[in-house]
Amino acid sequence: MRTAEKLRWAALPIQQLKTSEFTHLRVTFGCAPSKRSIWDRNGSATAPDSGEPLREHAGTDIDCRKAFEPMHPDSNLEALMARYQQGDFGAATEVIERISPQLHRFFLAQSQSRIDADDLLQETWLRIHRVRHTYRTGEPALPWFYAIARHVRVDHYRKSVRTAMGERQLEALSEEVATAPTESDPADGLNALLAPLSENQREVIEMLKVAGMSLEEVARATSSSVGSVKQKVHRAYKKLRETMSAPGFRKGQSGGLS
Amino acid sequence: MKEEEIDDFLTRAARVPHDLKPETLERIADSIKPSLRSVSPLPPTWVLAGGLVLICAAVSLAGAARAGFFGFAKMDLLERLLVFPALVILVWLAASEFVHAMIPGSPRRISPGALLTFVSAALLAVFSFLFRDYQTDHFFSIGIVCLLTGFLHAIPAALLGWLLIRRGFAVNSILAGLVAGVLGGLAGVGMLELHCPNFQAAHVLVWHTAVVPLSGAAGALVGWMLRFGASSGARKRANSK
Repeated sequence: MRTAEKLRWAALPIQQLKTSEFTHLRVTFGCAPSKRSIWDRNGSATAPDSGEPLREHAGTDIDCRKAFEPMHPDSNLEALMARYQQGDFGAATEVIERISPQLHRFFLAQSQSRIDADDLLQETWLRIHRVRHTYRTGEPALPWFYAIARHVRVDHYRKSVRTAMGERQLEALSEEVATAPTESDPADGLNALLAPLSENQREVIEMLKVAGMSLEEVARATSSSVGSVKQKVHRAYKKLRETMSAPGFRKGQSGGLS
Repeated sequence: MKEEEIDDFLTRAARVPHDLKPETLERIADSIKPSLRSVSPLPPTWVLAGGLVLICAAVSLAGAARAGFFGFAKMDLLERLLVFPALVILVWLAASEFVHAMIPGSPRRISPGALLTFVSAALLAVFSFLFRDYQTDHFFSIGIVCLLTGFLHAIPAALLGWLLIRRGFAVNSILAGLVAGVLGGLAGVGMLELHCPNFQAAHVLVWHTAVVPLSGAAGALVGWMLRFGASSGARKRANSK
């Protein structure tokens, strides 16, 4: 679904939707909001007769309020980017505040420590600032940010390999990183959950789940095809299924997942 | 365990708020503030790709004008109508991909490796359909000259192309170099088709087509050297600090 369409769905009061649009929502989100439902001031959908949250009313496990939210909470990121390109410091600060936590988490899932992630984040912003003219208004901004972040991460990885260790040690390290949870941030359940995955798989899952990017956006960020991204996700899920089905796996072990 | 359950696990884990120190954000904002000024975005892809096509055409025509349009003069109408439009289409494809390679987060329709394969296969198909003279007179001596001539025209085409979109940013300089090389190689092939009057099938299929992979490999090598150079430079700067 295109960003503009997602925004339209998110912004439209539910009463104004046509029946055909409801059908489209059902198909797209897999939940069935009643047309009689009302959109309260907080933006949550409730059944008018019972006042219960729409989730229970609709009889599905999917929280429809979440489903109606745009895929990216940073919906006007593109507009902010345009202002940033025009030299607006306020817009630049807002972009930094919105994107940095996601990027930091992205780096933390891949690197050894929080200090490394901080350094990578700083380096990424310097790079983003230097090449901000390469962002085109109207294009999705998240893939642009993540493409640069990936470049910085790969660069950093290569530099650290050359300076700190030989090729053999690198292999040992990447194996270690791929098989053991990082100790950098024990509170981060996602890192522990993604630890068994390879670097590429972890990266794709991070983008899909944390950044909320679509498959096409992930493909843009990773300079690959949608088919290739789908394949990585499929393999990642297969590995996760194996890990989670193992007898030692407890649902509560991954920080707030219970 | 079902896929939905894994999905639910991941979604819930992702929703755990991620704290980032406010000082870090302030430091980042402060670091960009001094150099914050208005910048003009890059032109649309079709403008840049059009510019690249014109560069390739200019290089090919300039080279053929200097060496002579013997190949073009010897071609019949069908050969002209098949060879040059095919080259224009392939140059447009390579130019679009080069632009995409220089803009982060651009959609990738075809991978650089697939582009090289597709371009080479398309040239082989067109040449094998048109040229049916299977003699191989002076195969190596004349062939090497054509290969070098094509390659020497690929270099300025790729350099001028890079100059046109130097404001872009290649997230993978090796692959961007490969695409630039393919684009330059097509300019070299264009020059050879305009100039070379040798229509022996083996000569055209091997030596003319080989300009594209050779230029692509050279472009990838330059991209690798740039990446290596950038990494080494950064390391030296870090050590000097």
